[in-house]
Amino acid sequence: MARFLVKRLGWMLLTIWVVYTVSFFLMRAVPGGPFSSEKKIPPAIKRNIEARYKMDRPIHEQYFSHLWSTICLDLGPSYKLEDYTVNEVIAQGFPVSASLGIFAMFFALTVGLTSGVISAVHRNSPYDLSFMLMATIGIAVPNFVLASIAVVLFVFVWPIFPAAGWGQLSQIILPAICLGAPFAGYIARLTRTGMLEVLGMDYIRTAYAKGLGTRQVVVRHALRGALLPVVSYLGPATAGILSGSLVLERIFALPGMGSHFIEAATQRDYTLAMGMVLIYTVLLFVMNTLVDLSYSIIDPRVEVEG
Amino acid sequence: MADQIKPAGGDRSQLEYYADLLEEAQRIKGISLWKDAWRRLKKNRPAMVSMVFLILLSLLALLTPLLPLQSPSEQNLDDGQFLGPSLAAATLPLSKELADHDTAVEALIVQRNEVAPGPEQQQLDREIAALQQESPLSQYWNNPGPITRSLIRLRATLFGDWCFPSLCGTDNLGRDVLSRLFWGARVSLVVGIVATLVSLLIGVSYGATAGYLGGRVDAIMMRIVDVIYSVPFIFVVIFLITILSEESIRESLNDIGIDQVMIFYVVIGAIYWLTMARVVRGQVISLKNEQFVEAARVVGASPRRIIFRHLVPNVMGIVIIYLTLTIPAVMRFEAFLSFLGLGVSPPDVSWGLLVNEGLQDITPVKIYWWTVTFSGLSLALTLFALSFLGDGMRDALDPRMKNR
Repeated sequence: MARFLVKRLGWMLLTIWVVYTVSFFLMRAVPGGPFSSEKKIPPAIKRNIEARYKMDRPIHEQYFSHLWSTICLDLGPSYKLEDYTVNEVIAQGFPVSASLGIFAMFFALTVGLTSGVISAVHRNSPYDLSFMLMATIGIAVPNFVLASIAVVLFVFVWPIFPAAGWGQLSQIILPAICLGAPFAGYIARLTRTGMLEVLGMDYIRTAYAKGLGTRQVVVRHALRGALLPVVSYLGPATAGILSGSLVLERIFALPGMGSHFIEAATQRDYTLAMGMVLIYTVLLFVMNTLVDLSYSIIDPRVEVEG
Repeated sequence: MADQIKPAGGDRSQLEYYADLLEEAQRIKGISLWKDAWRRLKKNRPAMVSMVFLILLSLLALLTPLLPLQSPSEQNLDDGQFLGPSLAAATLPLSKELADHDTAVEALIVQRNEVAPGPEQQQLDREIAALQQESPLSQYWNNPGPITRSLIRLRATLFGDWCFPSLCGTDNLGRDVLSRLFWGARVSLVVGIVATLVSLLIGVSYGATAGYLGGRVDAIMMRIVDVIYSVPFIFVVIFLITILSEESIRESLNDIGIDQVMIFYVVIGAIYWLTMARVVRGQVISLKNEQFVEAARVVGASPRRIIFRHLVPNVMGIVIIYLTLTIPAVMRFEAFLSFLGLGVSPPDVSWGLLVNEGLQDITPVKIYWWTVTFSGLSLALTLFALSFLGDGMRDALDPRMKNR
């Protein structure tokens, strides 16, 4: 276990270093630094400022000093937002994005698992067919199309949700559902397939034979075996929810990391964009590691390896 | 050996025996993998319906310049904004304007041919070029290419001034949504196909090389894939596109003949090759110890030749499966980026961009539902059809993969 974690950490550091290096040199490849845009500054003053920020040094020296401050978790000031460092922007956006993501994941898991189990138990019933149709629609339709239709329906035509904003529970429900819907569909399909496979096994027959009720057999015996493909899907699902939040935060005007990232990208706020890319890389890595760990908890036959 | 198969009896019966054998062999028809897959696919009704839909869609997108649609870029700010779907006939004064323009250009050319070579002729040349720039074709359409131009001219002779009515309404600048949907389909489909081909090219060669060479090279190449895999690529791509679309970089790329849309194809294709590389590598590893590879090696084929002439054709089945699953993923990603304003930029149109524009038309004051609904629906239907077809092809080509 400890070896697994250490090895994972090593890979994460390597990955982050690669991402960091590539983005650093890409950033420096763009002509014109932060001080060369709008107002013309006298050349002497500009030299002074650049010396202060070490921008007159050779590129490798800049790289190492910048790398060192990044290791010390200082991502530097934002290029475009006044009075903000990248760290502050992230600290503001992270809680919003995290709660949106957690709600979406919760929605995807509960809805996906429930409908998947019902579909498998009542195979080929109208429930099954309609659930699977809904799952296919949820997977095929891009989440921003889904969100736009949801906005038209549930905000304007039948106003039960507020259009945008942040702070109340009612404001998080609609974006979280739209964000989680494709993953709910996928989880439902995976659960159904897994359940169908497990329900045909001998130990399920044994469980029925010793007189257990359907509910107990399904929930206690079958679900645990059917859960494995779902758990291994959680890694990609996390990545999907991270990227999906970009769009949904924009549609619902939520002040999360995704909105800031898109803003940074369109405004060419390179330091902010780069800091965000690094944060997202770490997040994804941590989530994947957690998923791998939980995999071995659910199925004791699986041993974690680096 | 020959004694063993020789049946009892004289030479005559042996001859007959061989004749029978030959006949029997001719009667047995081998079913190739593709025929078998096609037979299975034909039974899959949703997949077939999707295929017909997609073929129709691609034909329509290909022939869009020929269809009597309204102009996708001409704005009508007087009274044409936000008109709902209607059946009222519409016209585009195309034939008269085209004829006027052509006579004007011809008159200038005649004039140019009459004057002696010199500064006056050069002046006239410039005038002709300027006039050609102002053609009604460039006015109503956004930078049509030569083929598109001739198709539009053909359309003008076929249909005259008549156009389809605004079946899907008009948008905030009074442009016809139906026509924009058709022109957007071209961009969306081309992005899907070209980016997928880029990913195919990179993924297959990378995976096949790693799998065939094996050993340390394979380990290093696959570790690189692992590292890239764990990067949240959407964010990296957005970062990359941001930097590549910086004005001065864009200009220097333009100078060597790379335009914005091409960057887009390559960048998207360059991230979707990872799965392809893994799959191809696995297949190649299981194939590379087969006898036909050894035979090729014995007759002196180079590794390169073995990989691309002997191994790659054998993994095509599984590659096609992933291809049909990659195209919708890429189209979705294009729509996603265009929606965020980082992909295809106006005056080009794509479906993602149209959904984005449509979404901005929804305000608490008034809901202009048609702009977002029709673009969203066409995007959703196409992705729907593509994923059905992809699933169907996967089941047909590899029945073991069913329900995975």
